[in-house]
Parts: sequence; C-alpha cells; structure tokens
Amino acid sequence: MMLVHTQKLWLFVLHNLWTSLSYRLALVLGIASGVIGLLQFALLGLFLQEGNTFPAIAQYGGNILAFLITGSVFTAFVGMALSTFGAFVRLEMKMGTLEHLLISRTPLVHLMLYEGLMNFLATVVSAIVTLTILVLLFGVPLQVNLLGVTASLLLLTFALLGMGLASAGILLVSKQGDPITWVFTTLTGLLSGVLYPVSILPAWLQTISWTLPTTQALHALRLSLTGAASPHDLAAPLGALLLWGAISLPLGALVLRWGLNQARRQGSLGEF
Amino acid sequence: MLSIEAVTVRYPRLERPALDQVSFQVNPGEIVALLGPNGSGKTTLMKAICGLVRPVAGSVRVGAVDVLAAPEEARSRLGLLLHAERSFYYRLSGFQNLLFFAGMDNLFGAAARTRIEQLLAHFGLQEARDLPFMKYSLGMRKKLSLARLLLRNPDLVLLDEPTANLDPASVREVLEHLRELRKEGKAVLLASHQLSEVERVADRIALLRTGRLLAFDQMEKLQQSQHGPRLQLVLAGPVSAAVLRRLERLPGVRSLDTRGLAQPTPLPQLALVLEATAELAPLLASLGALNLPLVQINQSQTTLEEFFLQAVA
Repeated sequence: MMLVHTQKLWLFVLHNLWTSLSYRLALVLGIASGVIGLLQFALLGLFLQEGNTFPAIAQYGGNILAFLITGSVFTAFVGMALSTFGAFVRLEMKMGTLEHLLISRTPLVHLMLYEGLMNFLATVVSAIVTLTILVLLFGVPLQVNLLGVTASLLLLTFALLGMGLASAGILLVSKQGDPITWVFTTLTGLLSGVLYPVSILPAWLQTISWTLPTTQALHALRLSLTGAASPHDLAAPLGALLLWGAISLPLGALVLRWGLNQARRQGSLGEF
Repeated sequence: MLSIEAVTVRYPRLERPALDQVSFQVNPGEIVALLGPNGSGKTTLMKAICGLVRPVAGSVRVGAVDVLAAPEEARSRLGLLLHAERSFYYRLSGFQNLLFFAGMDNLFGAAARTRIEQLLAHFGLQEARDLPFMKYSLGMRKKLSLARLLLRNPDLVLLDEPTANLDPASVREVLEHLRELRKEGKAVLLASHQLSEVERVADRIALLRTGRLLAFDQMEKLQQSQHGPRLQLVLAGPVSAAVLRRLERLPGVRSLDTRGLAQPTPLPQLALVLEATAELAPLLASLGALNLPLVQINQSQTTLEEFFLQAVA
C-alpha cells in the first residue's frame, strides 16, 4: 500500500516537473524573482539591524534579519497549507481533467494529499536552500532546533489542513473565490507577527492573534530557529496547533464532502 | 453489464428533471446508441452512470455493483470518454498523460509503459507519443482518449460523441475500434448525433427527449414502430402539384418526401413513406392508375434519421 502511495506521489512530482519544464522562461524568471526578493529582504534586514537593537524580539534572538526571514519562510508554508488543495481542485477543473481523475481508482482526498505532500516537500527544500544561503552570505544567526522546526512545520500543516480541505470544498461549488484562504492569509499577514512582533499590537488584538494557529506556529518556529528553544517553551504553541488540527480537520472534511455532493447534484464538476 | 433503473436527476435551476425515470440495460458484447436532441440528458446520464452526477432516485448497476452504494468499485469497471475537448494536460505529451492517468488507476512502472506503448501503437499514435497534447489534432485527441479509457481494461465503455468534429477517415477508424470493443465482449454505450454512424454500429437504440426515455429497442423494430417501409419512385420527368396531392391521399401513404424532386440528378425522385399497416398490392395498383412517368420503384426501410426526427418532433 505504501509503495502505491509513493509511486503516485512520484507521478505527481514528475507531472509538475514536466509542466514546469515546458514553461522554461517562466521557471527561470520565477527563480530569479525569488532570489531577488530574498536579497531585498536580507538587505532591508541588514539596514535595520545596523546600530539598532530590537528588545521586542529579544525572545527570538533579537536579530531583525533572522526575524524577517523566518517570517518570510513561514508565510510560504502558510500559503502552501491553505491554498494547495483549493488550487489543485481549481486547476483540474480548468484543465477539464477533474472528472477523469474522479473516476480513477484514486479518491479525491488522496489526490489532494499527494499534491499537498509534494508542495510541502518543495516548500521544505526551498526553505532549506533559502536559509542556507542567508546564513552563508549574510551571517544570519540561526540556532536550529531540528526537532522543534520539524514539529512546528508539520503541526502547522496539520492545523491548516482542515482549512485547506474546506477551501477546496467551497471552490468545488463557487468555482472561484475562496473566503477561507482569504481570511486566513489576511489575518496571518496582519496579526500573526510575520513582519513585526505580536507584542506591538493593542492588547485586544494580541488576544485575537494568539488564538490563531498561524501565530502559535510562527512563535514555535522562531523559537526553534533562533532561540534554541526548550521542549517546555514549545509545548504550549504545539499543543494549540494540535488542538486546531483536531477540530478543523473533521470540519474541513465535512465541508469538502458537502462541496463534492453539491457539485454532483448540480452536475457542475466539469465547470469552472 | 449496465442496468439503469428509474434514474431521475434534478438540477437545482432546472424546472423539469434532467432525467426522468430512465431505465434500460446494456449487455456485454453489445453497442447501445444513446440518441436525443441537444439538452435531452445524454451527457447527464453518462455522468450519472459514473457517479459524477448524483441521481435523486433510481439505481445504476455496473455488473452487480451499485454505483451509489459502492462508487469506487463500480467506477473501476468502466471507462469514459467525454465530449469535452479539455480532459488532458495540454503541456504534457501523450505518453506522459497516459503514464499519469495509468498511475492513478494503479498501473505503474514497466507494466504501465508496456500497456501504453501497445495502446499508442494500436491507435497509430507512436510517432506522436512525445508531442505535447496541445499539438494533437482532434482525431489524435479522440484516439488518445480511447487509449486512456482502455488503459483500465473496462467492462463497460461510455462514449459521449466520440466522432464529433472528426474527418471521415478518423470516423471510420473510431467506428472500427468500437466494433473491436464489442467483439471483445465489452458493453458500449454510445451517445451520438451522427445517426448514419450509429446505424453502422449500434445493436440497440435508446432515445431520450427532455430527460425521458422515448424508446429502447433494436433499430429495425423502432423504425417499424414509427411507420412502414419507404417506396422510392424514380421518375422520367416532373410531376404536377395535383398529382402530388393525389399521391398523398392514397391509402397507406403516411407522407411524401419530395426532396428528390428539387435535385433531379440524374432523374427526379419521390419517396412515399408508408404506414406500418400499408398493403403494397393495392397501393401499386393505385400508383399505376395515376400514369406517373415511372422508371423504377425501390422499397427500403426508413432511415434512422427519419425515425429520429419523427420521434422527437
């Protein structure tokens, strides 16, 4: 069984690789944009760090460059976890391949998980490359707690999985426009401490912020990347992520099933 | 192999049911043509069989498997070709597309590659195996769809307009492939508007109109049920309107087909469409009394097109 899943996952990887290679210029430009964006971020961090101290981020090591870069890497994971399923469903609807995949011997949830796992691995590789370059080029002071980082990213993905499933369920019906991804992406950028620490927010906003799984996950990730966190420090945020996942996953699965049934009733699976 | 019992499908924004109590069967080694005007429910029925559309009532069985109760098991026994042109990954080659879809049907590695190469050879697509799908002609796309469908070696084959927009040579090839499927014992349900092609391959006809099954039987029986044979009169010259009116009133004549009079090459022709109960001897005697410039009289069955137009009118 495991072998079958691995072979299917490999086919997803090949499929994406073949597609990306068929758009060579876009692939090159995309990589170049990523590198330039990263460079801008790093230079901004160096500029801000010069002669300044940042007591608000002292618990994460106090280095603004490390703070910004971990926020940036984290955002990539949030975007991936939230939108990977919905984007898959929408793309397959547009290509006209969704109905053919739905009559294949691979259930829709499995197809979405292969796509999600492939994107997760791609984001991990990209994050490792990014962080390595920054450490080597700009001397970003990272103290990596590998177990903490792994647990943070896996539990972040687990916590957002339900939202991703729900997002795909809504897209099966709405075809375009997904409020769940929009709300979470917006709240993450605004309240989760990606570019500034949560502590600068008004107290009532801080309360809302800490209820978000993205805030908990980013906190755990930063502690694991910059502060050599102890298991005790990580227990609370990781526990919160586990709780989020335990609640959101069944709800997300229900919304996905609702969306699929609704699209079947409307006969709209082939529409986009 | 396929048993459809009282299937009813309702779409939320459609007042009448898209399918209303439709029932019929398709046996192994049989091609059943699903006919009907646009919007009659043919594609909806195909999708309901696959579980892509959910019926509000009725049952669909593929073999002994109920599609609603065990959708995955039922789907594993069928292959589908939809009319929509978009159903492959445009940037991937034909081979890559088939490899991906084969994997999703649990066919991997050397077994998958061998089967794909066989199918590409069978459909004459070896030279195009590495071309991106977007470069394929319509005919090649249909053939690739057939190849994908056969990857899973289905017992039931569902084809929604497999010859639409194809040139005559490609149509002939596709029809030949359908005959092969029948020979292999597969049950085939073929939705089509190309009635002359249906006549060439179908064993039975299911006729839908506004979601209802109007008729389901062998082609000859359906044609006879509507009206009797057709008398084709080849004439040496034109006939007057008065004679035409008299012809129309002859006992046993249901209608006149005067299209052959307008194009008198090499000779004008006139067809009498007869009632099923028409007696030929007195009719021929009456024809003789009219002093028509007759050169020849041929008797033929009504065409599927005539049956179709009359049935759905």
